[in-house]
Amino acid sequence: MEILHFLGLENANIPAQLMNAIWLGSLYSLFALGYAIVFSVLGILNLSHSAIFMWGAYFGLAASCGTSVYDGKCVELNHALWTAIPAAIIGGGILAVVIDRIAFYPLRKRNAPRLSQLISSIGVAIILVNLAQLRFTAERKGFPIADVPNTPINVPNGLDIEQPLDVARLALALVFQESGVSISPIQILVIIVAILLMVGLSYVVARTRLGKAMRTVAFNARVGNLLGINTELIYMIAFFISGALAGSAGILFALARNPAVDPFMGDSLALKGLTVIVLGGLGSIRGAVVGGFLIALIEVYINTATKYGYLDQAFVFMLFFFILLVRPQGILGQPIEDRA
Amino acid sequence: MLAIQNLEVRYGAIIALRGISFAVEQGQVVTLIGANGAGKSTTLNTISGLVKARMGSIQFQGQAINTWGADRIAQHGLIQVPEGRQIIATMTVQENLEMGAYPRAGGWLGWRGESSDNIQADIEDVFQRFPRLRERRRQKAGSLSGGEQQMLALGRALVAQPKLMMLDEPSMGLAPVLVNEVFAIIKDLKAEGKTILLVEQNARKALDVADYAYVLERGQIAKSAPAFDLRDDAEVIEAYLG
Amino acid sequence: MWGLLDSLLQPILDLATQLLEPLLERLATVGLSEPVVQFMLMNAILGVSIYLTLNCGMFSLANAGFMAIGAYVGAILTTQHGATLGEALLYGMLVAGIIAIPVGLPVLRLRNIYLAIATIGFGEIVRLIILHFDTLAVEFRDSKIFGPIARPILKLMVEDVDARRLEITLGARGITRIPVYTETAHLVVFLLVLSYFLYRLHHSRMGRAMAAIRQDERVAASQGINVVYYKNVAFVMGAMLAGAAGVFNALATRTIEPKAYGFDKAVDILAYAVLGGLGNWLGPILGGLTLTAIPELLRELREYSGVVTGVILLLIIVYLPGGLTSLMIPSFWRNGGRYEFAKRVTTAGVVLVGLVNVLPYQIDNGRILGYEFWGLIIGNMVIVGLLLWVRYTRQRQNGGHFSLPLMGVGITGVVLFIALALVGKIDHLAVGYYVHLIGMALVGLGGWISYPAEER
Ligand SMILES: Nc1ncnc2c1ncn2[C@@H]1O[C@H](COP(=O)(O)OP(=O)(O)O)[C@@H](O)[C@H]1O
Ligand SMILES: [Mg+2]
Repeated sequence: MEILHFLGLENANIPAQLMNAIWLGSLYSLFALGYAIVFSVLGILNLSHSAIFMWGAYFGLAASCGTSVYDGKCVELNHALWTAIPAAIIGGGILAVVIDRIAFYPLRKRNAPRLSQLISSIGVAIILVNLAQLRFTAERKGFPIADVPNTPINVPNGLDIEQPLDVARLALALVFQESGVSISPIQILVIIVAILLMVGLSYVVARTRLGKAMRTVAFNARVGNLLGINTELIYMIAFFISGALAGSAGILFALARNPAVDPFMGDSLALKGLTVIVLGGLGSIRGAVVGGFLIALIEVYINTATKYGYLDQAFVFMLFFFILLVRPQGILGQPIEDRA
Repeated sequence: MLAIQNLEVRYGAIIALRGISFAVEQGQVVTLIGANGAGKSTTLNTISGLVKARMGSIQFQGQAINTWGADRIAQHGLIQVPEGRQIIATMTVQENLEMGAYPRAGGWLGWRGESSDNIQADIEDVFQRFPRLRERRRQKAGSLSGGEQQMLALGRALVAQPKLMMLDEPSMGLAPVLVNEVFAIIKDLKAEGKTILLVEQNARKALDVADYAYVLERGQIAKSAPAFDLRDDAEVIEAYLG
Repeated sequence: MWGLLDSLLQPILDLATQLLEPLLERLATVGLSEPVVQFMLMNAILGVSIYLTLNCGMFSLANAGFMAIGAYVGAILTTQHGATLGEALLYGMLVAGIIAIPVGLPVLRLRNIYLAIATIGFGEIVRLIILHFDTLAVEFRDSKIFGPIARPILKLMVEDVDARRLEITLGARGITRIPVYTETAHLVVFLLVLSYFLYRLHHSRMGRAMAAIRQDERVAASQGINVVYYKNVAFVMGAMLAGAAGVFNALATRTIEPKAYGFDKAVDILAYAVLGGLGNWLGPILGGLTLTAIPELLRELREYSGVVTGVILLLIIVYLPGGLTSLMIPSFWRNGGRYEFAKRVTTAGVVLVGLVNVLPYQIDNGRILGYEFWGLIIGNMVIVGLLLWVRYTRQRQNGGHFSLPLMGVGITGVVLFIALALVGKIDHLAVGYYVHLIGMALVGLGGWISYPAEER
């Protein structure tokens, strides 16, 4: 209890805040993983990643709301809500591949310095954000409120015990209410999807032939080429995965914070995602996951336990800045030579 | 088997190869000797498709491969063991060898690839040949010594079941004992009927194992003869054998 | 001292004003009004500020932050203390420069991407601090430890330090009613002095040292060049210039808000330098002027100025990495460079036309394009052209043999397009029309450039 007092947490609902940090953290990790994959395989810091995140949300929105989102709000769903998720994943993946072909492939072919790739990715980010603004206007859009189950789960009235789904809901609700956690079905979905994608990804990278090919190309593309690996294909897959992760993070964010889709929804995440991968070590897959949860924890802590909630962003950037100076390879990364 | 005609390669304004022609026949060990910067690695990299020729043709088993990508060339059994070994330091010995069989296994999807039992059998063969690798199969390749890394690089190429192996200075940076060991391995491979294009600065050793030799000087072929003849050639002795 | 400086400068400024008058009138007729010209000049200064660091091999995106510092110092000094432009400029540059020293010392040890992202972080921190400055100021004033330090500093900014709420940067609303002191003549004179300084720098020992550091830091260090010193000097100079631009900016626009100096501004500044090219100091000036002018000149594009910045950044970095000024270097046009450039120009054209056909074609029901059916036909022609191009480059590597089809496709495209507009097949000449035209012209231009000199 001493410690809690010292940390300013004596009044906080710790399980609830932890839950908050967990679902926010899974979102950050998901987003940062995409950054990290492209960085580790190609050495590109793709600053248009947050724009893919944003477009992913629009893809999802358009998939389940139809073309009505082009000009106005989405009043009713054309297709089931879940169609938004695969649409965002596939759309984000394809978008990332297209970006690679237009903005990075020519530079790679000519062996341009790495910073050129950073600059062209900034160019792409600007274009994508502005296109979204032209296409969908700057207005914030979302799914119809009634269709998104994002009210906290609690023990509902009139449950039909015969229905297996309701029994499950009741059980969940009881568990959460006992512990004081308030969490919505969508937040649970975020956590589940994020964990599935993260586990799947680490399996692919560590165990499959694709993962080994990716690691080989990441180590040295020429060697990969000499071993018979189609490096361009691997790059394409890496970009697809990265875009798919960004897209999925985008749509999950849009669902959880509904209505939340606007052309600038990626802006704050762009730099936060950067912080996450810097914290975890640039290009480290494990680092991106750990970093994501850590940043979320720090944010939630600042917001609940201190009176400096309005400074949470500033704290994150200070941390980012500090880590770059003190330990640029991140908490889990290997030492790097890009430092004098 | 491999026929190079009039190959010219440039890096920007630098002319690295000035129209060289040579051939490697099935079952032969052909060596390309020359000083540092003569263009030996460039030759191998051009054959491998990493560098594109400005002019000339490369024929492998009757097919023109100039326009192919490096991965496709490797998939057709033209395997290079690059200069400085280039094993994948972040992977284990076993994984490195598996990567050697990447095209055989059918690429990343494993489409129409060979069974992994077949490949594992070939990996066992490599362990037979280099027992020291077997002991270290779970170690990260980056932790191996220079000699072991060269064995691993050779093993990785062998697992690919090459039709033609191109070795770029396999003895570079090794202690004399290990140099002898590497050349003994090449002799073994020759005895097994493998076709090898060997690039070396260590001309004496290279001429000892090779059937035929070309001397490369500043991007041009200065001399070509059966290796046996060059061993007694006064100029070569003066320039390379000292 | 101010009096002396004033009496020295005033005649020069008067002269400049007189000389500029006819020029400004001329520019106004093409859509570049005086405020626009002022922005062009400020952005040229900003271009130079990032050039100074890039020229030393440092990719720093911190300049928007320093610009913000300059702008706020200028605004506070003029609104609270009645400072003149000269004083505001002096203190704005000084404060930016002084803050740059402790930032630069640790940060400049980083390189490459790490430096870039650290400076992005710095910019964000500056923006957030300015945004929350008033709340923070109260916190610090009331804190036991920092109070004694904070008070005298705050006294410089507000009259009544002990007020319950401090109103200094005024958060997201920003500072309003800033006096307008910046005149075009000030900017022109500043830029001329700056140019002279840059010209001298290039031929000085310091300039050569900086070039050596850009080439290879380790080699430079081994030649006895004090790398850390020069890097920091360049960083501080860049910060001071950005600060100056900020002061000019604040004293030209009446209102400033933190939003205007965020990551977007940092990227704009980068775009000036990239567009102009980093080969020499003229590049960033040219880039700053051009990139600011383009959206104003093409009125239809104004709405899309964000897209234009992005597209230019992308096209230049991908297809003309040396920037506009690299076109002025004769050696570029000798064989190899010319041929490569032709390929890139063509590709840029194809990409532009392709993008117009694929992407914004559908945006806002043709508001961008202004045509629907014909665009597809021409787009397809371009694809044919592209195929021809690829085919011919593969076969013959010396150019000349793919020039003709490309020129054919390009010229046909341009002629057809103008003809279409003339006969009224295109409802209204929207942005997409121009982009398409430019794209086709680039395809033709690429063909022409690659045509062997001896046959031209
Ligand atoms: N990537 C490159 N860029 C520019 N020049 C190169 C490159 N690689 C090799 N060269 C030049 O080409 C020539 C031949 O090099 P290389 O083939 O590596 O010689 P070797 O393997 O015989 O030592 C040398 O003059 C070298 O400087
Ligand atoms: Mg070599």
